[in-house]
Amino acid sequence: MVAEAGPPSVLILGGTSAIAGAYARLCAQEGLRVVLVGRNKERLEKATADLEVRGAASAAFYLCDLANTNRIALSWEGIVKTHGAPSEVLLAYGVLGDLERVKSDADALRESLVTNFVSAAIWLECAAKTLLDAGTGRIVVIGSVAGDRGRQSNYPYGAAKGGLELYAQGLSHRFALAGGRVTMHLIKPGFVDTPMTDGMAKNGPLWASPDQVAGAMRRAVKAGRPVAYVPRFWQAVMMIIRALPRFILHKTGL
Amino acid sequence: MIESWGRAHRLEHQVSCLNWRDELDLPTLAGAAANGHVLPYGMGRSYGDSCLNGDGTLIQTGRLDRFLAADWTRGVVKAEAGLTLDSLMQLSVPMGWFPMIVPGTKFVSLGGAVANDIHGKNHHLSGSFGASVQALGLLRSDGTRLTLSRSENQELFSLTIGGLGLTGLIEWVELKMLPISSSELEIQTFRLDHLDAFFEHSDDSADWPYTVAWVDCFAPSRALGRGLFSRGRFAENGALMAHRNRRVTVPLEMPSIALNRYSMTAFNQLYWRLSKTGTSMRDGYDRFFFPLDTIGRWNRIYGKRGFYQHQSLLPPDDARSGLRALLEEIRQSGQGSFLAVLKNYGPEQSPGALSFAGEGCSLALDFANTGRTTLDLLERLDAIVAKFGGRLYPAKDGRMSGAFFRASYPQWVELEAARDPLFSSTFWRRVTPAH
Repeated sequence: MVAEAGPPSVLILGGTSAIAGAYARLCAQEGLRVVLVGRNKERLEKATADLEVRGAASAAFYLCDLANTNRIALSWEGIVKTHGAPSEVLLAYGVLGDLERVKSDADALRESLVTNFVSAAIWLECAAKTLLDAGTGRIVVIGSVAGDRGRQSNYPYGAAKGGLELYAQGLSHRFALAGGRVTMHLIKPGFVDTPMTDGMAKNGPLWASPDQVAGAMRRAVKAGRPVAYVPRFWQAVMMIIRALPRFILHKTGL
Repeated sequence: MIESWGRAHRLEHQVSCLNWRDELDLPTLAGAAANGHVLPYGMGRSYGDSCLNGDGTLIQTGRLDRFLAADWTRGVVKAEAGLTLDSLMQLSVPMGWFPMIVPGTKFVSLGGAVANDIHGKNHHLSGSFGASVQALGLLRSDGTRLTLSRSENQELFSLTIGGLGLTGLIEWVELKMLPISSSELEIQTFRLDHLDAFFEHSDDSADWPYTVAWVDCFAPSRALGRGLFSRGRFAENGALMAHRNRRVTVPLEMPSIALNRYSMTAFNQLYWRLSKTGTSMRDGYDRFFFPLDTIGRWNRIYGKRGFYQHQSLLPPDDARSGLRALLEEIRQSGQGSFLAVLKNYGPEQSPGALSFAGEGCSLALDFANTGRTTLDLLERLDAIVAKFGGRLYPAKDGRMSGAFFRASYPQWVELEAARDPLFSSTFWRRVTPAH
């Protein structure tokens, strides 16, 4: 069944992640249609019920394993067939991974790179094609400040997010040449208090809540910003970290 | 290290953030705790040690904040226990529905509201929070999931409402809401010259749904009980506007000297003198019900030693003499309370077995923690409350004696019997014999 025309629809890849959940609630409050993609049926059912109460014109989910690169094209086809072509796609999933394990276990490293970069790039190509065919729409990608410079504390995650940023940049260039009616928005959060970071000590002014991050994201997307650090101060922080001479950076534990 | 709202209790805990109900494994969480027990923790707005579980695990429920269903024609909402009244009202007020019972802050979770069977300015007409609870979901540590209501598992329902989070993890709550035609209230304020005036105004205001009085604890003996009485009701027409959270935050703890008896006496006297009697106004629900919410972390104004709350309920027949005795004791001690709130309660309508609220008069006080002198005063106040057959509010307590608690809440035996064996709190261990 193809969804009938109505309010714009937002498709969220990684619908049970904390930032995506907060973003989906903002879309629901705006009265949009929301489709969540993920693999945990019970959680997706709870999340969509919540979105309906919060004002979504409709809330639905599509079950699939986002990191299964062999099935992404098929899943995308299924999503569009069932729920119609989205007007906005948010790519929100990712894993931080256990650094020590990723460093020593090749399978874990591959899995982390496939989840955070390879599968994400394939989803972006699928979304790009559909939106370009429709002639309009936007893609929102959650990157990370970790992608700004390779650092010993998180480079496997940072490298994947940095790669994803380049991929989004390239797509953005393509969209511009195609007339600019499809837009790309790269969001770069800093430390966010989510299940992904529950192993870390969360004191101090650098931490933001998923609601704060989602609010800043929504404003940046609506303002049409191609790249947005959320909260904004991260732009200054990362400018400094990028500018640090190597001999200084290499003396720190950053 | 986790502290409760009064900041006089800071205890070591294991903390576990709950994201989804399906990931909950209570025996493992309890096993990981030094004391082998867990306690659900919502917004941490209880003042003393009833929301703490020192050397145990706290299960934070803040991320369990999803709505399960809402019927805006009948005004029934079902949501996970971590949802706050703040979020609920953001959504429900524009739809014309308000929680039947709200406390003095909107930053409380539904689970906490049930566990403490909280009350508000309309207790004399509407009872406490449990009166608006139609059903709730409880997860026990043996893995059973129960639905509790007035017709299903009734006994556990009444022990869970006001059960201090000890009967198991409250997963969801189904609430009946109050229809409103405006988000503003009509409010009238009267100056009280003495304690008797409070009773006169309370009697006069029996048909006003919301009443409360502020009392100047620093008033001289002849003006004992002077203060301000305010009453309100939702306006019959006007816009339905949800509140907006714009607020300032107390950035760090203030030196404890900031609130001394001279500054508080001066402030209270000025506040009382500047208030005119019989004034009427209209104001949004946020300022009427939750005035302190505009100042984030106001609990820091008491300095690093924190403060104690003392909220007592006195049975109706002796309320007048009991209140007089309490206020006289406070006046003589010179340790006045900055925020003293007086309110008459009606017959209890909540099914809660261990509910604090009930017919009578309640006086809520807070005292900066100055150590032994504060604790001594609080014990003298306890003795007065006990003498008049009253009781204290566990959500605000961090020091009453176990004997006093057990004598004033004889149903504690039933709660202890229904307590989930893996659940406990610092408060419960303090007031009941070893378990």
